[in-house]
Amino acid sequence: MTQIESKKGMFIDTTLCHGCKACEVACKSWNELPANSAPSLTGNSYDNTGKLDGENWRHVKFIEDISDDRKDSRWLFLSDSCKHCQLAGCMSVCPTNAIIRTEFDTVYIDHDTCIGCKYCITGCPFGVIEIGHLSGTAEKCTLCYDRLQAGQQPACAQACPTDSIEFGEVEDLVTMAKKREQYLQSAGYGKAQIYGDKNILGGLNVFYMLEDKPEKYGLPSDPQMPQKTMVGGYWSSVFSLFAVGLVSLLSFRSYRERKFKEEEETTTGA
Amino acid sequence: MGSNFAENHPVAFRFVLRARDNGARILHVDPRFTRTSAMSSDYVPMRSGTDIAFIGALINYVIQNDKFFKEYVVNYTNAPFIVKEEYQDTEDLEGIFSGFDPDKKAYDNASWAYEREDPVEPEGEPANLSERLAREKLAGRPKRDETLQHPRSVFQLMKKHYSRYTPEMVEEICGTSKEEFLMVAETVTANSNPERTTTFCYAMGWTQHTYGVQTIRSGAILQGLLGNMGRPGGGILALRGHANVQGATDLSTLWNSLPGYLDMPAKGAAHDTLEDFLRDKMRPTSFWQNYPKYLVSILKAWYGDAATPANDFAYEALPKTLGNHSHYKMFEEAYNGIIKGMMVIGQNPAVGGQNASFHRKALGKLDWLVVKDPFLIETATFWYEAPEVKNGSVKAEDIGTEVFYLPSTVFAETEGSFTNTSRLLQTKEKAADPPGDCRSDLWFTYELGKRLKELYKDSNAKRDWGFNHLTWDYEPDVNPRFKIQEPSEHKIVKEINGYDVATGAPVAGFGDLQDDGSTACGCWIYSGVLPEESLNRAANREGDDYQYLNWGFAWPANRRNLYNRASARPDGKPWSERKKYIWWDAGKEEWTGYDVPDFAATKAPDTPAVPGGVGLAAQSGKDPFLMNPDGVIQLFAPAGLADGPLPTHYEPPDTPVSKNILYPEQTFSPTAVIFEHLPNNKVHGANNSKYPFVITTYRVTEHHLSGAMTRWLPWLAELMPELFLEISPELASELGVHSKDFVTVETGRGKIEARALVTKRMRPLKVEGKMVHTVGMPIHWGYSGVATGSVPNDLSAIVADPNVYIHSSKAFTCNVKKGRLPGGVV
Amino acid sequence: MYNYELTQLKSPDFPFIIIFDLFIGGIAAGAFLVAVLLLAFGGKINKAGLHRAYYITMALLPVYGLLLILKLEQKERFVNVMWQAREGSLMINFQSPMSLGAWVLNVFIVFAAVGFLYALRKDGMLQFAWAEKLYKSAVWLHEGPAAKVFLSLGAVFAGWFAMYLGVLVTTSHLPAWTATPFIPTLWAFSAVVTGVSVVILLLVFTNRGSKLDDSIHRLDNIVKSVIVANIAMIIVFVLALGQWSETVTRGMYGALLWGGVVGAGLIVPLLLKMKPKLLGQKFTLIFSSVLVLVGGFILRYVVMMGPMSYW
Repeated sequence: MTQIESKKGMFIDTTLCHGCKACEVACKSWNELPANSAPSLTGNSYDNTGKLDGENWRHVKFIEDISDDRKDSRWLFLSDSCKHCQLAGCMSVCPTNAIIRTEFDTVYIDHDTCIGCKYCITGCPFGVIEIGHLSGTAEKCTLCYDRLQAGQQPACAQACPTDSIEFGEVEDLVTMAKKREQYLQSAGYGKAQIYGDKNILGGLNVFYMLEDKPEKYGLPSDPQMPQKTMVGGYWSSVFSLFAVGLVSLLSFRSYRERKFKEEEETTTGA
Repeated sequence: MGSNFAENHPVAFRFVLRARDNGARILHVDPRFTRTSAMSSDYVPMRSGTDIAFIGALINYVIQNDKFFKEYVVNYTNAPFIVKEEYQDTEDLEGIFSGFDPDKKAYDNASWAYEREDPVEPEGEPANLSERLAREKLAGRPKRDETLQHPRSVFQLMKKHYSRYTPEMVEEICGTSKEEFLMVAETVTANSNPERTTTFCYAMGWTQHTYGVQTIRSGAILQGLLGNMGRPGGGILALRGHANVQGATDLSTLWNSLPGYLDMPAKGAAHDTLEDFLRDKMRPTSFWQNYPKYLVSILKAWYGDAATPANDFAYEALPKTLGNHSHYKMFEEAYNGIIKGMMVIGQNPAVGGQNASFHRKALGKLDWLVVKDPFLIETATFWYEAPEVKNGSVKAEDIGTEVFYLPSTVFAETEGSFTNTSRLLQTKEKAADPPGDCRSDLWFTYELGKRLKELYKDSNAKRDWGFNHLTWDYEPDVNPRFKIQEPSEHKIVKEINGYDVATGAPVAGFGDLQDDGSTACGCWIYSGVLPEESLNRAANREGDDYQYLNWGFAWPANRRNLYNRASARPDGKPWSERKKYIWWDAGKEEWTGYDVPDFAATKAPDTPAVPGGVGLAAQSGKDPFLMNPDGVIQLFAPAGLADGPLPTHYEPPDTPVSKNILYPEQTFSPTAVIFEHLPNNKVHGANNSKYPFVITTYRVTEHHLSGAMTRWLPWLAELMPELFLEISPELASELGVHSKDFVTVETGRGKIEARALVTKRMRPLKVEGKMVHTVGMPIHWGYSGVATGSVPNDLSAIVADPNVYIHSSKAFTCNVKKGRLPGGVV
Repeated sequence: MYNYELTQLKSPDFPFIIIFDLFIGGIAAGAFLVAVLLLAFGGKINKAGLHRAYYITMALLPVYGLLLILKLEQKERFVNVMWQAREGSLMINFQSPMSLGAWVLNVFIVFAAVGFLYALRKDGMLQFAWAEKLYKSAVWLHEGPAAKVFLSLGAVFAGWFAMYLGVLVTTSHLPAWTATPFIPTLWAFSAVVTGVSVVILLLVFTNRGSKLDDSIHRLDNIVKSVIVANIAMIIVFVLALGQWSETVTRGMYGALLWGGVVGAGLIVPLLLKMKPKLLGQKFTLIFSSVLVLVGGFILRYVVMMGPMSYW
């Protein structure tokens, strides 16, 4: 196991994000990710990226929250990526330990080990991971592991013009976020809330300041580890084994009593 | 207002957000709910093109409710000045000012002048050319009434002019509800006083109208009344849309100006000799009285030793304008076969010009065309890729233009500096050599100049004298890191900064420039950027917690806030402790503060104006606006404008309403320039039932202008991959259109197709008792590149403002139908 | 107009061959499971030919393994599932049903091999002298004093193997897979009906005279019972899915589930089996078994592809 040297993460303050997508471009530029082939308008606000996947490790969501009479008009932006969870579903289900925790306490996919079984895709409660078209392995944000190793901040954080993406030690970021939350709540953002504190999967290294409840942003309010439903699966397996065994045996044996009767019928019938 | 700050200036917007988090209120008044609206405290909708009605109503609100900053207005504006009796307002003449000539569609501004005292004869002999010429034009001081009660005082004239610009009128004209308007009015006025300041940020939403200059003036007038000029956190901020457009303007890419906002001599005017020219341009009672020093210094910089007092410093070699050579006039002349060849560098008129299809027609009439751009843009490909060629209505073989394409560099492949919105010069470094044959525009221009000089070197023709004597030595300072060497940045900056001709040493600032040929300077306002041979202040990178005076260099003279003398009371004390910025230090007998004072450093507040004085001597120690003739804000402009001394609401040439409610006799600006004689350039007029919807065009963050730098980059192209038309759900359901469906947009100029983007961010407004739908379309698309689409600028008409010939692309009308264009753009 | 609810989760988009995988693995496990159970606990009843189920298992497991590898994006790296090269250790992750499943498969292969040897000996085929000890051990394990223990263990692994892919999808975030714990049950029941159906087919086609009739009919009896259980389980499953039931009942998937699986794949064979005279005994056996197999295949298609294509 890698020794964790420092806990790095990002604090993404959506109240400062104006949806310029510089983070998306910086991410693709640094990580040499190809542009989507034959992109077309999605029709969903200004979001033409659509989702996180093997080639899009950052995705700015555009949420038009506007009432019919336009009295309440909000346009929310959220720069989404891998959250580098403390309890990482993807890592927990990986059959090859290809998903590892780095010395920066981030979640990283070791491409040399990944076999492309796609299981981690279902393990992530946020829909972050997908198979890269070029690599053929699972892909997601690395928190710019290579830049971190060189003492730099991730490309997106560096490119963000409004400091909506703050990179640093998770502990410092949490302190900053708590202060910010207090400020925002006093400044008219009544529903401002931190998303990704300890209560979410043991804490997200990449966490958010939201203006409203997580569901508004398409984030699960209470994400779980995939293993939460595994136990039920095993219990039902045990039950099934007994049930099917018993039914089989009984059916097999019960045939004895009726055997001759049926044989007689068959003979006369034929 | 008039800007989409967050989307089009996303980096600078960080400061707005910081202000917001410091408690500032951000109001966004705009026809569309944009990313700026999303980040603002409040969004207020309005109909596109009605800004003057809105701001006029704010001015009226300020005057009627006595919310103006009295001491500031009386001392720092021309509100007390008395205007001539002959002057008649739009209120008197149903929508036009006195002096209008309907045949020429132009004003004679003689009647707009101030009433003046008798001129005072100056004493003594003039010290130099500048002083001598200034004295020739000296007039008497304007008459004033500091009680502001004189019926012909600027204040009273304004009060009358705007008296009918009421909140109700705003509701009628702009479609903004009275409540929303009053919210804006109250917020702005409550935030404008000695303790607080308000700023207005504008961009193309204010400028691109047939009355663009007047829109900006209306903002300036309001800010003058509120005392928000020259004070920290005040002003009206022009947001520049490119990294270096400010620099481009400063160094004069405009047809009628020389570097540093000096004028280009004209053939038609009495500009035969240097003295004639200067006599015409001379402004005797402001800092501009130094005009001759700057012009002579430019001539010295350009013609070196060949520029002598005897030959008018080679004034004759300066090209003279033959008329109006603004962009649209130029293309008109190309279309008419007058202009035969064209070099298009860093521009994409085939899709970026208004009525772009006309631009393509004009390009097709040229003999030759040089296009220099990083990518093979539409202006270079129009003859085989334009929609009219693709659909067969124009045949490629009928286009005789010989097109040369020269690949250009991008910003990281050259060194130099950018001048940003804040007039701040910041150097940048070259990161890499350009690929292949790509060369910077500077490299190209320098090499072209060298070759032309070589070509003309044996010519004795008078017309070639200029070429043969032009100083043209920018040989590279070789940088071993790169293969491709750029012309010397140092030599260029030094020429721009100016130097002493005799010693060759850089001058410390424009104060050192002379009109006797002893100094040379390429652009006086930049003077001081290189005060010493080895110190380029644009490369300074020292921060502090307020004005960053040692970060880069802001022209003029590193001043960050222009006219900052106005941040102090007339007596030199700060208006308030909170807004303390520049003040008079009575002990040291000098101006001091957090910025470089924009005032004569030791001119005490109680210094009286010198009767008969020229230049700054004509202004007192309490006249902060030293570039203006009387040292004060010109709420009323007696001269300098082609379309009236006070901003007045007119409708755009295409308007959904039946008339201008304020002046039913005068729906449109009487001086708007309409290029009626161009093909396919019909304006729709008022309430044209064929074109019922208002359309506004704009940029989005993801692309830049005509897309020449972004639609070819897959990473950017994918972010906004296709042209779209933003429409409200209300209109979409009327048209039976869903998001992503194709729609056809039609105007009298052209017809294009786009995908619909249905969004509640667009909203119908009630104007003139009916619902007016606005649709919006980004301008970035064209037929070449990675992300291609119809050309949005095919829709707009070539119409212009009479002052600066800016076009009108923000408010015109169109029709929208479901479905694709037959044989449409693929 | 649009929300991001659906994009917060992603379908793994397992390739289509996972259906074959599930199907083949189910047959292999189902046949083995029933065989060992009957051999161990079938009492003194005639068990002629039951050992031939082992041939099926042994034949299908390599195919299963191959498909498993083909499913991977990086096929040549399949060994990473068992050996962690970076850390130089055996690879096992108890939190991951997939990792565990790989080991279950390995163990199951051992059981299947023993069974295979036993079957060969019983049928007197391929009796190499050098492998005599192996055959003897296989017989000992099946008939010796510890037979019941060995066969029970085999049953456990067969069951686990039949169901691990069910547990695997249950351990995920696709609501349709996680809303109920019943997918392993579905797999188990279907494994038995399909596995036994294949055994029946094998016995029918290898039946010389009527020596195996008894076994065939007894096995058929199992199929009938488990079909009933299987139908019940499908209904319980769909009901338990609640709001997510549309992932398997919408459009084509609904038609396939009710018409293909429940109708043609379960009810029709059941009815046929109850009225064997309608089409003749032998033909009924063959035809109903084939229908069961088709139904089993479609069931896997619906339960896997339905939810995946929903996202």
